[in-house]
Amino acid sequence: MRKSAKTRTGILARCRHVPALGLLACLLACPVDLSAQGRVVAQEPLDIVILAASHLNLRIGTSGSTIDVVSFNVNQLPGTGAVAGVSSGADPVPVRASSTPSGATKILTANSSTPLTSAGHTIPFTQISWTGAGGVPSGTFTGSPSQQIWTGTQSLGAGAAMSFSYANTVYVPSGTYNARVTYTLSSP
Amino acid sequence: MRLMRETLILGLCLAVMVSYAGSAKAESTSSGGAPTTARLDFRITIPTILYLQLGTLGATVDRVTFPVIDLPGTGPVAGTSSGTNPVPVRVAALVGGSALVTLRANSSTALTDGSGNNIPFSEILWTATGNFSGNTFNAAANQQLDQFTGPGNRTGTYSFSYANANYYPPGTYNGQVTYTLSSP
Amino acid sequence: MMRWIAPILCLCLIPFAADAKQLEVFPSAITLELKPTDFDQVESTQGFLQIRIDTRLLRGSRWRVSLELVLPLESAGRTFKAQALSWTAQPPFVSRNLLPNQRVIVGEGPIDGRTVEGRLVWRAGGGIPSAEQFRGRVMVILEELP
Repeated sequence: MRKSAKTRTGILARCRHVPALGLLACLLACPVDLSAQGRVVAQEPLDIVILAASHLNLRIGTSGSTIDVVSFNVNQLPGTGAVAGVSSGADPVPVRASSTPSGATKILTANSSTPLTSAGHTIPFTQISWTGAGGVPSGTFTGSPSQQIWTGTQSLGAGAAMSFSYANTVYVPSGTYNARVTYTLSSP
Repeated sequence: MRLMRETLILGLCLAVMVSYAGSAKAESTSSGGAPTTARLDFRITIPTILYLQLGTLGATVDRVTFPVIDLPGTGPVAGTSSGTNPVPVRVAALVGGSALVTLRANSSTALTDGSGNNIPFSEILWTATGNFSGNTFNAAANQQLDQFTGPGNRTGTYSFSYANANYYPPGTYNGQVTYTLSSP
Repeated sequence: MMRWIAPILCLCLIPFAADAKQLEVFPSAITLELKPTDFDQVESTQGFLQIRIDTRLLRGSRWRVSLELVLPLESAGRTFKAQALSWTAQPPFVSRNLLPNQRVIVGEGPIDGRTVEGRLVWRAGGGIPSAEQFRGRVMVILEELP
């Protein structure tokens, strides 16, 4: 027992330096306390990636999912003058086109290949034209599936709009004629 | 319970996905540079309109005058309008695609000299150009002159003649024909 | 000599072994994608970060977790604003945004032998100048308070 006590004392005596050396080794290899108040005991890395991917944004008319209707109420014989269109949304019809990156080349086209129809009768889209504003050029629908409306590296923002007009130069059967134009924004 | 919740969540996710996938909208955003589309609807309302023009435009009623200087039987006498000669005629209509548009004349009241002498309108005939037909008045209230189908703009002229086939007391005889355009 | 190495190694290994359990973070990387919702607004996808602290392995009266941006979010010389990165959380964690050059406290609580778990739902905001990828690193730091 004395021998083991001596041995223990002996080991302890020699181990007096161990904690100091251990702490030194730990200090070199283990987390260091940087805070005056707390002691850092663990830290884990978290890698963060933020993707700002490329996008194209297009809006024709009212925001959201509602599709506006531009109506022409004809009350004169063909040949007496054009009839102005009235939108169910904002008038003139707003156009918004932008991209990420913002300076990318953008092309806006329209598909007016399906004519306006009423009970089997049609009115060609060539009867409808528009006055553009805020960077949108004026034009007339050609009935093409991909008619270029606008192109640019800037964006179409507040003030960009179209006001539509029906030429009323053709005799067609009475009725209500409907059609939909699909606009496409692309970046080459 | 857990299965029900998971099924419900899956259903909700699918519903959200379906409502966004391929729906026609006025506004859209695409990723990765893919083209994006937006829609705009158009509606044209064409009413029903009937339009008839006989002679000069405006409120003035033209008068066709026949200066008879020869005995009956020597040939018809050409008429001259106080307005444009020959008399312009125009029928314009916006109607249903198969609707009939009919031009009629009412010549039932004979020309009269104001002293009890009449010349029936059956003595007056005309030739036509353009979309219209030549004929003779039949002195009826509802004589069909021409009939068209569907919308359109029909133009032409009338040139009138007095047959001068019968003997009438001398005088100035006046009368009026009313033309009516109707559909059907 | 060998008799000295074993105790030293033991003393060092114990803290490492305790490291793995005191603080656990999952996943070790999150990706947020920015996209515009309307022409002037931007929103990002969400990133989920789980944090777990085992207070049995801690000494002292309170624990504290902080975040520090150790590598700024950069892409070809451009920096993404740290303040535009934020997260929402439930107690004992708090909803905040990141700051540059500063440790941001995320949560605090008593060391009471319980295991604390929380989730930070990350999102990024701000404008999109161009199409690119920003990469950076945040350190999740666990401290013992006396």
